[in-house]
Amino acid sequence: MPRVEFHNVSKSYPGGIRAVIDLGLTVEDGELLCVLGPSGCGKSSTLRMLAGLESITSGDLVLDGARINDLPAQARDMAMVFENYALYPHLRVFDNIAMPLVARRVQRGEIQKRVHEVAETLHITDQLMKRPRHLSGGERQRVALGRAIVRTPKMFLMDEPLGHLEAYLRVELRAEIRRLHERLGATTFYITHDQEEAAAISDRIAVMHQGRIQQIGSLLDLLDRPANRFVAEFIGSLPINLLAATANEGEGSLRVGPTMLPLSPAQATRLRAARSHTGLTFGIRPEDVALADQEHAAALPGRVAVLEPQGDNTVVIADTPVGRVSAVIPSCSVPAHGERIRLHLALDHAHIFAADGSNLLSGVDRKG
Amino acid sequence: MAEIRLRDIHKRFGRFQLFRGFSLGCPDHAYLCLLGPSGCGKTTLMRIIAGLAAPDAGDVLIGGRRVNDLLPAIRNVGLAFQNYALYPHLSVAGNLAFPLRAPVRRAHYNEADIRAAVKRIAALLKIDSLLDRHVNQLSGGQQQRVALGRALIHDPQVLLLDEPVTHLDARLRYEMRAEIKLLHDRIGTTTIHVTHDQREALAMGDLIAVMREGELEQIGTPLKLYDTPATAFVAGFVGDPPMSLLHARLATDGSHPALHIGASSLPLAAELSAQARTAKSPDVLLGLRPQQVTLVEPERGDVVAAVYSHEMVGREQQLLVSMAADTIRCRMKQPIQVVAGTKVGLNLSLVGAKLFDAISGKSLADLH
Repeated sequence: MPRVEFHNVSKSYPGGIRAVIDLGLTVEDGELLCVLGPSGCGKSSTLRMLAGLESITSGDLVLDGARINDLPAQARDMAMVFENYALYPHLRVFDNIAMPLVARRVQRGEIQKRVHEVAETLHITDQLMKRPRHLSGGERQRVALGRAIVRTPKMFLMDEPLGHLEAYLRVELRAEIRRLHERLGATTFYITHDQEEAAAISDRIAVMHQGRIQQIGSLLDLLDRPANRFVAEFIGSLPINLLAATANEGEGSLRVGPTMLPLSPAQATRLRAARSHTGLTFGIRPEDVALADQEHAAALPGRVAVLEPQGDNTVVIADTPVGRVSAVIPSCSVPAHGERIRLHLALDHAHIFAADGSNLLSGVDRKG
Repeated sequence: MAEIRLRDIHKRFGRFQLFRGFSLGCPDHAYLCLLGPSGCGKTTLMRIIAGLAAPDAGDVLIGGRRVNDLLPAIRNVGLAFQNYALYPHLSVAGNLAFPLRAPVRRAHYNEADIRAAVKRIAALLKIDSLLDRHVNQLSGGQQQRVALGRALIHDPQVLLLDEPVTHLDARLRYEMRAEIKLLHDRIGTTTIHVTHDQREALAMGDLIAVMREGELEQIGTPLKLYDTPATAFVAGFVGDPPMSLLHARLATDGSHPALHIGASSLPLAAELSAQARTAKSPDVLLGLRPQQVTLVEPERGDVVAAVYSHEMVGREQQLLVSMAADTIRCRMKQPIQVVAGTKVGLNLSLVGAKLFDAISGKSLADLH
């Protein structure tokens, strides 16, 4: 049962750089866990420690109940897929995929059979006799995936496997990776900086920043109840609107620029308990901002600066007294460029962050 | 300020004929996105306009003047590349001033003129406080601003941008997109922007030209491409998600026009049956947006398909189902547990669906 546990794992490099700090994380048997974060967040160091390519400074790495800190990489039985494919340029696709089996002295008949099965799964049967340079980026990454799955390792480690690909190929291949995962049911540790990719393929996402895990959960957990401002900013296909706000305890309301948003008694109590009513940040996703009627009191005035069509919807970017605010509006009811509009900021979809970035209140606490 | 026109461009690389009679017009002041997958010729086209590559035949016109024989430096074109291509040994001010010190322009600018121009462009791009910095001390977004400033400092007639925001991380990319658009609103320079990302093209272009393998598939406004794709390629490339394309056959059931998909027959309503009459061949591709596809029990569906994969996109689960060689994407109102290979029924709503000739890929609505 491949199950990986990181217990207080840290990684420091010479010069005192702390890449990973006190990491506690479990990858369950059969799970695809994504570590998501910007470059430099420590996700690559984490993957390399798991692979055995990097020593562990302190803490325990446990695989199936056994500490493997000092187990050499080749003894860990993990298959890796890299961003840059790492294919052998002089070998044909067939031989690239067959390589791990050849290295393990598998019989030739068996190799033939397994390579063809894998090629069929990944729709590259027609490419088997070609060399990597004659393949597109998407095809090369399929070959790299084929090489990883041709044998049955304990687990898969994927290091930004779609990072090099153009947007449309990423969309195509991420569905392929999810399908492979469900078919093989193998424990998979996947790192990426692309939150859409993480959302599409993973069972759970661990958001990492400055060497520390910020939050672990499903995409909906991260969207609806971000642990802090960093998670809220990093998640979401359009960036969340973050606006300076002040709590007005006496009146039980929140001030965002010229707009007073009335707080429910429960919300007011939560903010009072937090004892910080200045330096707050009001966060609301563009999908949750609507156009308000002219007479709507709790609406933010703005002027349309940029229109970004998406198809059925258009992103309206407005200049407001508290900065630029984005709203996703159906394309059929989009205001004109330069038009004065009012934006409805629904508190029940918003998040309020303290000056230190911690989440004081998520509107979706409507659930409980 | 100038209109850009390419007439009957031919270009060959060794034995590979990329362009065979390519024509394209970009009106004065327009922001045109050249969109296509890698290898479609979009970057080569940009290099031909800039004078960095010469066409084998055909005319390049800027502002009505044929510029084929003019050196790049005197075409009065501003260029910014995806990797910024800044001079690492120069300060921000030195990089900005560089085009004005080029031999062809040196005579026109004295040092006072150069200082004034640098000041003006730095203010426009909000990098006035960075002028003395070295470019390797700048963030990616700041470097991109410097690259844009350098492209614009000599008041070019035409601005050419090659993947200007691709390398930036998500939030910065979003902000820079709006910045570039606002900049274009202010200065009005005719701009051609090369990208492989359809989201970026929809968001930024007044016009989008979709290219594929050296051919122009369609040119139009973002909503025109989204609502009325001229070819199956455009339908399958533009939109988030793009249309699913399904092989089908035009037929008649009794006296009623119908569409045969696998073993199923769907009646064609007025709009599509008028298009069907113009078809040269009965073999067509049916283009459907995910909202036109509903998942039902296998026995209740218009067609039967099998689950291929699934993914979370934003807050919704999207299912990929396969029918013969085609993959169809549908949106789920509630996430469901699925197993690849499970039989499902699909109800297809043909209102607003598109038909394309299966061989040429051309929209039957355009032949109509």
